[in-house]
Parts: sequence; C-alpha cells; structure tokens
Amino acid sequence: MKKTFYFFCFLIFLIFSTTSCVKDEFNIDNIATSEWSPNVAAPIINSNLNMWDLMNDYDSTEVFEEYNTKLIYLVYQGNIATNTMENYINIPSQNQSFSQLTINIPGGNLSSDYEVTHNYTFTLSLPNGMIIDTMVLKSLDLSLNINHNINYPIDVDFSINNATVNGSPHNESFSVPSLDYDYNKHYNNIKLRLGANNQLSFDIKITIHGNGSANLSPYYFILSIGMNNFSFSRLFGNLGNYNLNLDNDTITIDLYNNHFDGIINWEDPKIFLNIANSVGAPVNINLNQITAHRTNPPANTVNITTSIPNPWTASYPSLAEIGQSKISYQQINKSNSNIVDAFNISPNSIDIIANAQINSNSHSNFVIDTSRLHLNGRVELPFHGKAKDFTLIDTVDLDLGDSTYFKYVDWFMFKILTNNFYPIDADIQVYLLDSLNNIIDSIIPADQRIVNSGVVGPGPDYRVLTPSAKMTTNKFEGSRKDALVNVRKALIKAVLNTTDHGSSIVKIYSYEYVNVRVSAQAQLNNLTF
Amino acid sequence: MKKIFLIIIFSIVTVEIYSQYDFTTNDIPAIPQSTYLNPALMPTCRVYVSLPGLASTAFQFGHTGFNPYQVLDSRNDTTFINFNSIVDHVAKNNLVYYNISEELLSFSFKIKDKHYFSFNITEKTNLNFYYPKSLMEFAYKGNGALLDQSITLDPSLDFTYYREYALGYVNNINDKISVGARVKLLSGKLNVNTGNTDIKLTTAGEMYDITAIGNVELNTSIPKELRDTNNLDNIDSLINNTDFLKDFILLKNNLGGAIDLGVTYKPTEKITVGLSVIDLGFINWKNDPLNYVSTNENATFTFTGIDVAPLIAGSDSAFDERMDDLLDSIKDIFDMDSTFNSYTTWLPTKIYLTFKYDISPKTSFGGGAKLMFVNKKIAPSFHVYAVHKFSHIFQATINYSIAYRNYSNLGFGFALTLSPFQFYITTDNLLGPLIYDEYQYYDEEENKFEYVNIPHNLKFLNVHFGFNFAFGCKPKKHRAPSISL
Repeated sequence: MKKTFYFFCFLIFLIFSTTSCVKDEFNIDNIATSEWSPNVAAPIINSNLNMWDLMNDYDSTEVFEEYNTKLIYLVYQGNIATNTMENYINIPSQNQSFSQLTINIPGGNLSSDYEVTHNYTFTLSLPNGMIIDTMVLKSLDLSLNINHNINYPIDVDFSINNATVNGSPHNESFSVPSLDYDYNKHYNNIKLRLGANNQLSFDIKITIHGNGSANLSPYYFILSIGMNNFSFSRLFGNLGNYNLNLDNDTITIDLYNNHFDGIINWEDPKIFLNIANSVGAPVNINLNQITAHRTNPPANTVNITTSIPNPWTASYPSLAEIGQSKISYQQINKSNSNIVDAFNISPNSIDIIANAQINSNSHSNFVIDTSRLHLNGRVELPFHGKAKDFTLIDTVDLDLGDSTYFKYVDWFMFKILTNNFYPIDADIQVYLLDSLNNIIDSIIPADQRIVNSGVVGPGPDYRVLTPSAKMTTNKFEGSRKDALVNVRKALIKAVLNTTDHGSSIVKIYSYEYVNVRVSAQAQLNNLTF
Repeated sequence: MKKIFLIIIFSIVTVEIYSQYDFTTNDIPAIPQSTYLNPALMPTCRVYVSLPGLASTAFQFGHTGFNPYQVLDSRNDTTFINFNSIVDHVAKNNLVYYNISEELLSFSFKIKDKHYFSFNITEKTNLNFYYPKSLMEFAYKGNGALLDQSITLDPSLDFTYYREYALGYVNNINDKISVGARVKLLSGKLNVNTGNTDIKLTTAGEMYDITAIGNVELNTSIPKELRDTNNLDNIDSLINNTDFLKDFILLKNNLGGAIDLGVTYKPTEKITVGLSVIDLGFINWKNDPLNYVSTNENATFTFTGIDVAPLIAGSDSAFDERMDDLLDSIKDIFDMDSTFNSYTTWLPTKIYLTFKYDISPKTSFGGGAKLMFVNKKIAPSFHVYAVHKFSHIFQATINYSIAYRNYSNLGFGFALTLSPFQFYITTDNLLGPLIYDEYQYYDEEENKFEYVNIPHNLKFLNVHFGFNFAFGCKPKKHRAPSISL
C-alpha cells in the first residue's frame, strides 16, 4: 500500500515538475520565423472617365458642352490686349508767356486800392490732330510766373474760365510779395472746357494796395503760364488717329502636345475673334496673318486665309455707354476659310498677328484713361469628325522599386476591363523602359486592343447605341517579373481610331464615358514574420 | 488582503478562462466536488466541509485547433512554424478556452443515506473564443486563393466572470433511482460577449470585387472604474479605493440563475447510468452595460476600386474628397451604435450521459459522453475510465478521453482521505505535458544552437485539486454501499 502511495506521489511530482520545466524553456520567439505565401487580389481602379477627365480638364476650361445637343467641343483660347489709352495718348506740357501788360495808375501817390483786370487766351498744342472739348484731368501742375515793377503790395486773382476744381469754379488768389514771383499749384481733379481749336481762356485781376508811396506809373506786368504733367481720366472730342499695338496672339492646341502620328479630321473647326472695345471711337482691326503651326515633327505651317472683312471695324461705346466695352466678333469657319486644311496638320498652335487703329471722326468721341482693346482668339473644335491612327505618346518616370520587395513576389497579374460608350477604339500600350530608354517589357499584351468602340447609330447624330466591353489580362512571372526592377520610365502610346478604323464620322456627347476597371492579383512568396 | 484579492481577480480576468469538463474528478466518488457533473450523485463521506479558499481549485486551458507537433517543422537545423499545417489541421470551427474556478466555501451532508444536501460559493471565470478555419485560411492563403468563396471571418467571444451560490439536494428514491438538483444564484462581475456577430468576405473571381457583409454585436458589462485606462495604469489607486472593491465584490446588479438536474439509475446491481444537465441558466447584465451594435442589419459593402477620374482630370483635391466620401460611405454602412442596454447571456450548458460497471466492490469502470452548448455551437467529448478503491483512505482513477479533436488524453487522479483531512488532485491529460519533442533553434543572442522542449500532443491541460474536511468516510459494516459513480 505504501509503495503504491509513494509511486503516485512520485508520479504527480513528475507530472508537474516536467510540465513546468517545459513551460520555462518554451519561448515562441526562439522559433524561427516561418514562410508565408498569401495570394492577394483586389480591385484597384474603377472609374467612369468622361471627356473632361480624359482631357485633364477638371475645371472645364477646355471641354465644353452644347446645352441643346450635348455635343461637346474643345476650346482653346488666347487673349491679347492693347495697353490702356493713358499710355497711348500723351498730352505734352504747355507753356506760354504773355506780352507785357502796362498799368498806369492815375493821380499822384496812391493811398487806396487800385484794380486792374485782364483776359488771356491760351491755345493748347495737342498731338495727332486731337480737338478736345473737355478734359478731365486726374493730375495737372499749374505754374505761374509774375514779373513786374509795381512798388505797392499787390494781390492776384487767377481763374481759368469754365474750369472746375472738384466741382467748384477755378480760382487762385495769392499775394505777390516780390517783383519776380513764382506761384505753383497741383490739381488732382480738374476739369477743363476748351473753346474752338483747343483754346483755353482765363482772367486775371491785379489788386494794388496804395500805401502812400510815390506813383511811378507806368508799371509793367508780365505773366508766364506753364501747364505740366497732364494726366487725364477722360477726354471728350475728336481724338485724332492712333495706331495701337497688339501683341501676337498664340493659341496653344494642347490636344496635339503629345501627338505623334495619324490625324483627326474635324468636321467643323472654328476660330472666333472677339473684340472688346472700351474706346469711345471707331477702331479698325487689321488681321495681318492667321497661321496654324505644327512644331512636332514633321513641322508644318498653314496660313489661314479667310473672307471675313479686313480691316474690320469694331463697335464702340456711345457717350451714354461710357465705361463699358462693346463686343464684336468674327467667325472663321470652313465656309469662309481654309481652316479645315489648317487643322489637318494637327497644329500645336494658332498664331494671330493683328493691329488696331483709332479713327476718331467726330466730337462725340471720348476716351477714358483705362480704355483699351481686348482681342480674344478662341478655337472651337466640336467632337464631330473622324480620327485615324491618331497616336499620342508620352513618357513618365516610373520606378517599380528595388529587388528587396520584388523577391517577395512570385508573380502578379493585371486585369483591365473597359466598358466603352465612346465611338473610339483605343490601342494603348505602356512600354517599360530602363534608364537608357531600352524597352524592358510592356504592360499590355501585344496586339490586344483594350478599348473597343461602342456601336454607333446613324447620322446626323451618330450616337453610340450600345457600349463595348473588353477584358485584357497580363501576367508577370519568372525572369519577366525580375526584369521589372530595372524599370525607370514608362512610355505610354495610345492609338485612337474612330469607329470602323477612322472611316466613319462620329460625334461625342457629354454623357458618354468609358468605364475602366483595373484589378491586380499577386502571389507573394517567402514573407516572414 | 485587498491587494491579494484584486490580484487574484485580475489574474482571473486576464487569463481567459472557462470550465470545460473535468471527467477525472467526476470519476472519484470520495471527492464531494465529483457531484458537480451530476447533482444526483452522493459522495462517499457523510459530511464535508471545505477548507475556505482551498477546497477546490480548478483551471484548464485548451485549444481544439492543432497540436504542436503538427505545425512545427525542422529544416536546416532550425525550427519553423508551418502555417500551411496550421491551416490544414484546424477544424471548421475552433475553440480556444481557459477557465478557473475557485471554491470559496462549501459544505455538504447526508441524512440517512437518502438525502444529501450541499452548498457552495464558487468564483468562476469562463472564456470561449471560437474562430473559424476560414479566418486562418484567409490570413494564410490570402483572398486571392479563395476567389468566389464566402469567407467567414467572425470570431465569437464569450468571457464571463461570476460568482455562484449553489444549493444542492439529492434524493435516493429507491435502490435504483436517485435524483438531484442544484439551484444556483449567479452574481455576474464581468462580461464581454460578441453576441450576433457575423462577418463574411467574398472576393469575386472576375475583377476581384471585395464584398463585406457584416453584423457586429458586442456587449460588455464592465465596471466603469475598470474601463478607465487611467485607473488601470494606476492600479494602486484603484486597489486603495475601498468603495470600488466593496462594490465589485458585492456586485449584485448582474443577477442570474441556473439549475443543474441529474438522475442516476441502476438497472442491475453492478450497472449505473446517469444523465445530467449542468448550468442551464443565464445572467442578466445590468451593471454598466455598454453595447456596440451595427446600425444596419446585414450591412453590405462592395469595393470595386478607387475612382481615379479626378486624378486623371487633374484635381488632387477632388480625388481626396472622393476618397473621403468612400470612407464615409463605408463608415455609414458599417456604422456602430453605442447603447447602454442590459442584456442576457446564457451559461454554456452541458449534458452528461454516464455509465458505470462495478467489477468488484473496489473496482469499477465506466464511460461518459458530454455535449457542451456554447455560442450556438456544440462541443462533444467522450471518456472511459477505471477507478479503484485501494482503501477508504485512497482512491485513484485512470481514464481515456476524446475531446476537442484530441485522441490521446490519458487522465489520472486520486483522493487521499486521512479523515478528517482529504486532499485530491486530478487531471484529464496526464501525458500531454510529459511527452515532448526537442526542437533545435538558433539563438541569435547567444550565437549558437539551442534546444527547446515542446509538448508533442498537448491541446489542453487541466488540473483540479483541493482540500476538504471529510467525516464519516468509513462505511459501517451493516450499511449498504453508497451510490457512487
């Protein structure tokens, strides 16, 4: 009995001592990490790409929609403007010295006040045949020089007739403390009314204060007037003729920035020339040259000849519309020009060379200091036409990572599913390049079209009736996968054809899009943790 | 004392526990705690009084998924965890469990071998954590290997810490039939329960669209002082908070009840069969409840890819907005609502079916089957045993059980009764910790190969031991043998 008892006691001791011993030694950290090779798959991209997205035009500055038909069109535009009129119209300084005024004071020694008045006429010398009725000046410096020999104290009242300073009749009163005296005055807001042939008249009153001194008559009084630093805010009258410089207007056609080959035949390209004129006088616009330039190889140039009026007289605001701009425009299209031929060269830009001339012809013309001429050149390309092998190429930096990560990837696979509501076939390839631009691989299997054109209905609307779906897959494994560590650039080549390989006319509407889905699956290998 | 008590509490809380089964204790009739698996049983001695705090301490932990030897590989003189084997060896549903029960006070007595009364106060903590095989497959193989399959990802968790006040009664109706019941008043302390949580993930084969369907429910009843991480960081202040300790020890808001029912039947003099239902009951959690529930039932979201149109169009800010919208929509779909509603959890109810054959007055053998119902899942187990009464002082048993997909469980236990003192210790898995394999690994710190011993086939371990005061254990010569199973 005792043996049995002792045996069981020993057994119990053995159980717990061994168990605790094992637990002390066991430490999961001492076990080496293990391999983990999960297969992961996930959708990456699911986007409905409309034309605004594809044209990289999120803020709608290039792609527009015709609200009545939903047809969309590209717009590229450039703006040029003349300088403001205050930079063109320069009123020179005016100086005139009037002949000696002789003053005879009657009687003997003068003991009381004696007044002499006189009127002068001053003809302003203005450029370009300007005959001005009214000048509103935001700046004018008036300088008066008085030279006399009167041996009594004198005061002078000087006023320009029909002139107002801040709404009040002009008048300057001052004492003349010396025999040769200069009086200067600066005006910030003075309005001058001119008589015929730019004449300005003014009155002067000389008050002689008798002090009992000897009367030495006759006395002389000479007045010289200077008007300097004219800066106008408004001029009314016949403005004369001015040539206005317009810089060349270059309209960049971004669509063709990466164009490499092929052609888009636009059915109805247009160039709009819009003039906004705030000069209150007739302005003639001379369209010297309109040119389509292709700078991508092969370089090419086509002069656009048009039958629109040249020169073309722009509308101008009336006196009642002072401060406003009047809009006038001309449209260059396929019926009045060779614009279709010009766009067949896939131009990178449209250059417009023009100048303008003010031809003032009446006293009802005006100009304000901020008046100017704006010329807006606007190219409109409605998505109506056909494209054949229109090829775009672009290169972007792409570093797929170092071999540290690639060694954990056994293989990976892309799936691209497109569902296309556009009447366009797209053969897109992404070539993976090394640092020396050698092609390492391509993402899309060769000869696989990834976007198929939707089925197009009849004209004149050419609407897509049913979309087309296309699935493309490509798997990278083995040496093909390993080579990707050398990728440093990606060259993207897209060849676009409208339906039936560019032989049919199509239209693209704002509601059309292509749904692009990209998914990826990867077999990871030898992950450790 | 407070500190010790709190340390015990937190030890219990942090080590995830639940009482699964305890066959070996049940096989030794001299141990009064053997009646816990069938309230119709009467232990050998006439009167038992527990040694407070030492009468019954049981702990067990286990994992039904895999054995160490199944997942450890040796290659190139180094030991690896073979995750592929882990996936291969886990079952459709797998259970990780841990439990501790600590009897604070108990006593029992017989009246004329016909009536048996018992009472016990026991602290119990249970933890059952179920995880599906598909979760492991998903983690190891990746979703790409499980295309077009619905992957169930919802692990379920039930953690309960409660106190049990149990009053038992057995009636020997006649020489053949004995019936018993134990009525339990339950006082819950802590609970975390995942409720109706259901999360499924599907990756479509064509374009790998990922669809998630989810219902999430998480109920908790934890005193607010324990939710406050500041308190947990500064445990001393919590220990010194007598009001908190008093409230926690005497917590009486989370009341519940349970009943154990049992019957034994002796069709012949030597054969006894028993049937019992244990822990048929619930706890209603009212103290500081906090529930997290999915706002949308069967919320579904399918991720088909990111919309990069704004990026292509040239607007990073619009892309960011669209990403925010995507995240917001996911959040809206799987929005969680926080509520403070009381809730009810059911105890893991067990059904035992046992039989015993008395080969001799001192030696019996028998067997049993158990079904445990937890979180709407059933965990079965089986065992056979032999018990020998060497004398009225010493009884020992050895058994074999099949449990938790483990087929090499050899149990052993004994009771040593030197009246009035009784000591007992049992385990259902004797060999598990004894048989181990030696694995070599490279210790980078020591820069040399080392060895580690890891049990070969250990899915679970349980030990139950305690001290009782036992009186009247030696049967009178004229008295008929007491019923024991």
